[in-house]
Amino acid sequence: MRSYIQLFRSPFGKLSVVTSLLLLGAVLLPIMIGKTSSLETIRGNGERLQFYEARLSLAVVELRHGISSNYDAANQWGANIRKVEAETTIDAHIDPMIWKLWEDYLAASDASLQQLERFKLTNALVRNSLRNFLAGVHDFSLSLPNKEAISPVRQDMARLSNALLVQALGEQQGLEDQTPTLITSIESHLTVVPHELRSELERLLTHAKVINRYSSE
Amino acid sequence: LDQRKVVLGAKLFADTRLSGDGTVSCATCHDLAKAGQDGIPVARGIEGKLGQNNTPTVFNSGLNFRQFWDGRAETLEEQADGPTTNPVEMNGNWPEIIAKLQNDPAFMAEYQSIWSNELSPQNIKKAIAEYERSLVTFDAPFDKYLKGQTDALNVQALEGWKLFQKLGCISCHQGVNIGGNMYANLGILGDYFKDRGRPETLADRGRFNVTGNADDLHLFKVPSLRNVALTAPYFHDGSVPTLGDAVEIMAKYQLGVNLTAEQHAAILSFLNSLTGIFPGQVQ
Repeated sequence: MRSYIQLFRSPFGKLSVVTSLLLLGAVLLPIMIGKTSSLETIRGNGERLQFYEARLSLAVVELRHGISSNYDAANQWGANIRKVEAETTIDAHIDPMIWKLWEDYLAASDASLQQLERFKLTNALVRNSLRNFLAGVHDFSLSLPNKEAISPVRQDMARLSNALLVQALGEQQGLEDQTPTLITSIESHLTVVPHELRSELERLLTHAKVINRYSSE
Repeated sequence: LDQRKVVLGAKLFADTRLSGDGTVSCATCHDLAKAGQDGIPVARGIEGKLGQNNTPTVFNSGLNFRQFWDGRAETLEEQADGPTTNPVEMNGNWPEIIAKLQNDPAFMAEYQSIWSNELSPQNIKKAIAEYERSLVTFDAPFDKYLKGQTDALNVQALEGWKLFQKLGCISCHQGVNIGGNMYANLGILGDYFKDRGRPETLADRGRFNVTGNADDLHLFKVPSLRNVALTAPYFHDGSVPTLGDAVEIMAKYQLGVNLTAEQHAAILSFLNSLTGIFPGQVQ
């Protein structure tokens, strides 16, 4: 499975390569077969697609880094791409080379837009759970009584905060096992946590599990 | 919007000739007087046949990124094809619909004032979709608040808006339509379908029915919350009768929160502030 961060890195990169090939084909083929008028349209659509892809990639980067949290812009660029694709018709018999490039492009585009949907979901879940976890973990740790038996929980919660941040940033190489190990360790100490704090701990751990599950997907 | 298409689309939207036996139109389920939906758990189509999904409101549907609960239609034009030909809903077929409409000189005159080509399913769907795009509600108290009218929300609704953000409802119910711009699994922090205690239906599978991808099981388009106070019952199968119940379930299964009575009331107050003015109300 692709990592959370790869979800938006590679597919759009691949798409751009295919679109570039399409543009190149559209530039060369008129010279080769002299079908300038229809290919002018294809070339124009290729340029529009490149522009929309670039804007979509930018929108996704802004979402990924919290500059924006609204998916409307990314959706609009995706819809623009779909619209241009629907407007573009290529006859396989007349322009087989362009047609092949176009089919490759459509397959890559479809895969990218499907991955965009997965990204939107995982991004919403990870960011929401991270915000919930970080907003609650400090108060929770301060609420823990100053007893030796509680010390491992406090230490593990601090480690877990760091691990989750790193994981949510998509930089978890080598740390894949750290979060589950810490969660298991904290859960094994649940009985030493005062009863009135257990539901909050369980809530925080639930969010930790969401981050772990969806950021490493 | 092309007003000529909007006007023609409005007529087609209410035209029972689009159904197989001439008894059902789009407006039968998407009743504008009932906030653009039907107020019953699942759609009731031709001969009283019941579907599996709750009818979503047609209001603001043009702002949704996909149509249907499982998002299987990318556009309103594509969506219009679904119920029209679905045997459980309108059970129409395009050749018959075209033949019926072609025999209506008034309709054809209006059609030909817009399109010079022959009457086609594509253009019928374009007109209906254009009309649906015109069904935008506006000036909800929350819209006024966002535009700077700080007293548009009462104290409780304002507290609800803060909770809506703090608890994370806004992670999914976001954007101009306060939803309708992404998919989400029903049951992120708990197994909703197991706890619900009823056998799963085909409709419960959500987007899985479209893609066959295991990740898409129980994945649904996040519904818009605009006018949500008027669109009971709730969820994809209409199984949740009140907004209060829906809020409680969403808090528990999507956010992992058991709301206090005060929080619950505040969020309900905020959701009530999302009720806008309907198209037609200002004529």
